[in-house]
Amino acid sequence: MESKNIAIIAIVAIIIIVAGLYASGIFTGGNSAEGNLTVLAGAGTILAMDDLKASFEEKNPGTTINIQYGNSGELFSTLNTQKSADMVIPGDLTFMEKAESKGYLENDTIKPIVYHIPVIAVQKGNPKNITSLKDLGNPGLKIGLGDTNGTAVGKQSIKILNKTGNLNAVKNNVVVYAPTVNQLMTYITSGQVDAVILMEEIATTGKGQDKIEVIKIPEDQNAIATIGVSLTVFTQNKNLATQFEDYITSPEGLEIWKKHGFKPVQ
Amino acid sequence: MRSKLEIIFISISFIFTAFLFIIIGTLFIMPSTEGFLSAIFSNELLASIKLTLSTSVLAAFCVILVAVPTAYSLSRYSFPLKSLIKSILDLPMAFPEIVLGIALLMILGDRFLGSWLESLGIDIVFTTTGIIIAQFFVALPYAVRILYSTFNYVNPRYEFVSRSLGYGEFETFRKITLPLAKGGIFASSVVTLARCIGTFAAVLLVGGGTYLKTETLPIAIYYNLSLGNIDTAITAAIILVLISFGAIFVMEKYAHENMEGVN
Repeated sequence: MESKNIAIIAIVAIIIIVAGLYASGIFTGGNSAEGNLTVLAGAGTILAMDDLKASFEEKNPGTTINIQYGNSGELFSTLNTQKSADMVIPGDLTFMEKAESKGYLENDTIKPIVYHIPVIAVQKGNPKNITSLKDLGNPGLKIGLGDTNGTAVGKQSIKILNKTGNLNAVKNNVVVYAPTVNQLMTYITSGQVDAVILMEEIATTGKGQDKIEVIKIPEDQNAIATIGVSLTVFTQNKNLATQFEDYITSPEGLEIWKKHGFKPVQ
Repeated sequence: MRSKLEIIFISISFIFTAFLFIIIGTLFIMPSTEGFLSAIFSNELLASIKLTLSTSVLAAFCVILVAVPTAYSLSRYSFPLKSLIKSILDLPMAFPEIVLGIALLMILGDRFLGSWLESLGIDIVFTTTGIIIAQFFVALPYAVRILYSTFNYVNPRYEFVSRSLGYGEFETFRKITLPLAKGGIFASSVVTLARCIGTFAAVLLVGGGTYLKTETLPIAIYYNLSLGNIDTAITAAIILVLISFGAIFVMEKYAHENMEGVN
């Protein structure tokens, strides 16, 4: 009798789980039906975009914004293979040129929004006395960089160090090229590395910020990326997409970007 | 006539095994042949396979060296705090391995052990040593678990008889207990090796996951997915499936032969 009960419970549980998954839309995925938008956004924008999505949905009941996050490579291959998203918000405007040349974008809808600014982060109190990019090449330091293919900040770091001319010295000090940017924050706060180059918004927001010190990189040495937005030619809901684009570039939307550490373009 | 319960249970096992089989099977039809071949012979995956196998074999070897005495003492001797030790050893099976990863990072960080190790010139974080240590702690509990029940099944009477016939304590362990526990030791080695190969989060955190340097197969999947290199990611996944399949096949075969030997 008891085992029969267990069997019934197990079956009911399985049915509930399957039904739940189905209801949550996992099997059907995001589609572009009425009131729905699919947005491809840079992984670095996740906190700001989630916030923007929530407040937009709250203001416009009945709309759902599905956001897929990824780095530029991922976003581009999604756009390339699925040809379905309504909007892209990549972490770097060079993405737009690439997508534009393929004819994927509504050209007159491309708008810059905020800057993505690389900074140096060191441990609290700056025990190794690092004050500039030049210092990162000092012998004996342990440096962490983002992976130079997979992360936007990793690519920018190489550009920056090329400009300063001490790329090789710094490379000798690099102990890790982290495939995810969050790892860099973990390594600097746990004392595994002496300095990292990461994006300002990651360094200046969140819980880690009181465990590190941020050293700004002078503008002429820096490689600042711009986060922008554009509608795609695949959009089936241009009105709503335009509305969402206007919202995230409006003064109100920019306040949300600022809250997450981004600096507006204007 | 099968009972209702029997039918229900058997259909559940069939349906979900079929699902699992289909899910794993789709991996094999996803990449194109050229994509698969060029990925498997790419520098990245070759380095990754080599790194994964060498670290895992070493880590698994160390795990067995530690797990045999640990499991044996838990099974045979009574000593203070025994049940506490058993619970602590089981803990890592219950929590996600990233917890172990972050704990290892913290303890190896400058504040504690790290500065002392650094003064000795031992680098752990961001090195292959770090990978092996992460794999070791992730896999250890599984090995102890299996070996513990193995030693429980070895009848202590054989050991008593051996002692009474003149073998010393260590000789008895080596010549009586270990051969009797052979099957379990083999099974736990295979499980341990598989666990070491599959370790992801702890290895990513402690090893750093640097491209071509500390990039094990599970990290290669993750990394290539994030780059949009689906073919490479799936190829790495297929290699992992094949390795696991091989391990389980060997284990089943060996367990079977062992059983026949006993009967």
